[in-house]
Amino acid sequence: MRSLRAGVAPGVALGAVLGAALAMGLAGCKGDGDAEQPPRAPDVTAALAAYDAPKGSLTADSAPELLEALVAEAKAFEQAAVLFTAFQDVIGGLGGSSETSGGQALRVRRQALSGAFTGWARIEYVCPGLDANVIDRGQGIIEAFGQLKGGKLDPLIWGEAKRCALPDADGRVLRFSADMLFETTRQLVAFGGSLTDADGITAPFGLDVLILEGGFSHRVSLPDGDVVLTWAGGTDFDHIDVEDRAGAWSCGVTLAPVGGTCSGPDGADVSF
Amino acid sequence: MRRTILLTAALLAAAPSAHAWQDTEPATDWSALTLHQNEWRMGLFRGQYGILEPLQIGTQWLPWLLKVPNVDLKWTVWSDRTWSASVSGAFFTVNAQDFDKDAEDIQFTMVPIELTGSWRGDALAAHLRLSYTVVKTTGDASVESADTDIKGVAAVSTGALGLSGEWHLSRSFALVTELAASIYQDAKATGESSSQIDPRTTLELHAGGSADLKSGRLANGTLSAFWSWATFNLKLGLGYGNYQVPTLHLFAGDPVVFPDLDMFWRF
Repeated sequence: MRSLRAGVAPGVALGAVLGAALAMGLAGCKGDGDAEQPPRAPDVTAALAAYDAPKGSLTADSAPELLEALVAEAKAFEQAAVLFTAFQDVIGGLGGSSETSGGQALRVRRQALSGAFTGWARIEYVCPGLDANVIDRGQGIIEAFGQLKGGKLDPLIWGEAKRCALPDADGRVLRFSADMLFETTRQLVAFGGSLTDADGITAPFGLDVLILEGGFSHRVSLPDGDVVLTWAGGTDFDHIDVEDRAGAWSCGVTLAPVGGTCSGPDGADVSF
Repeated sequence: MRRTILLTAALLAAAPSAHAWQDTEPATDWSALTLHQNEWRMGLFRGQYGILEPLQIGTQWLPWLLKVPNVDLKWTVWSDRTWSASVSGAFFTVNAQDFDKDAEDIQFTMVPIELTGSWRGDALAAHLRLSYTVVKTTGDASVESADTDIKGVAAVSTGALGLSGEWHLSRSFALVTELAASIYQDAKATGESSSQIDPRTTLELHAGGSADLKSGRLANGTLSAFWSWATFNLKLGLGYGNYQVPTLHLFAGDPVVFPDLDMFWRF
């Protein structure tokens, strides 16, 4: 009777073969289920914190400065509205609106990958220039990114306008080269870059606002920190609420000449 | 009825030529042991050969019929009269174009790995087996249409625990029970799609996800009669539980009763 086999000596080749099989099996998990990583999302924590807890102070000296800064940015708001309108169309393609074909496309993918999935989306929009009927990448593009977490689109959408030509209200073309982001939970919109106007003049272009129900909030930097101005929208600056480190102020202002009165949180008034 | 009883008695009887299989030719299918060097095992579902005393190589026939090349290795890393341990691995691969030349160039690769520990007493034996299997695709599954292009890869992995027992009732007959339970089984996938939303707008999605394929308790068990004569071996039994895809250890469906059949020759 043959005895049951005794202890066996492991061979190097044998170990290598089985080791390779084991390694392959283990390697099978690597990378599966992990989507290619997108460009790094911008950090909006500081920007949102600046709106939540402004550090600057409204004083009789700083109030005119604030108002002048706001008036000076009025044109930038109009220009930003042009770019933001286009950006909103792009965001609609990322699934923000179920009525858009892009939203449908995203829903279809969600169904195909039912369950918790992560990843990212990129959307590219060819800017129209002055002729909405012509598709010409020479008119620049807007590129936007969004992250998918747990099957849902993350609230932060960011991207870049790359020499994007858009018509302004007067039918003249504006070319934007700017980073942009839209945080949809707080409705924070931010742009930063440059703008070339119809006359070919290029200037820095940048601002950030919170879009509110019936108005905007915009932070303005003062030497001692930011304060947040809130108004009804557009360039209607007759009444402005100001949030500074002390609290909320309510201001009635005039632009020509610059002046007004602000009522402070402790009944204090500031006239300028 | 009488014929059945006689047949049963004949099968259970210890024929003089029967292998003392529980001593010299121990079962290798569910244990940590391998064929002897230069020993063959040719059966209904698989063929195996003992390359060295502790190492066997084998293949399964059915996958070949489905154009799936496959090879398996089993190595008894340690053994004495009572205890033994083995590690085994297999490799299955197939390309979708093997079935359809117009199909995408997708290679499916399956690698099952098992660790088995065995205990053998005089009339009883028990074997514990831990299995891990991964199925992975390489190459892109691609679906293209006028305005959409979808590509993706996927992988399925499973883990299972198996417990087998032998009760030797005679020198040529044993009862064999096998229990298998799923530890986990999940699927992962990554995909890319590109859609032309309108003439100006293109949407790309890069998504990865995973899904737990294990819902509730998934297990099965079989009780089989196992005869081992000089060269011929026959296993007949019944099982109950969730269907288990062979080798992949993927459990699916509602519990059912299923047959257990195998026959092979060792020489």
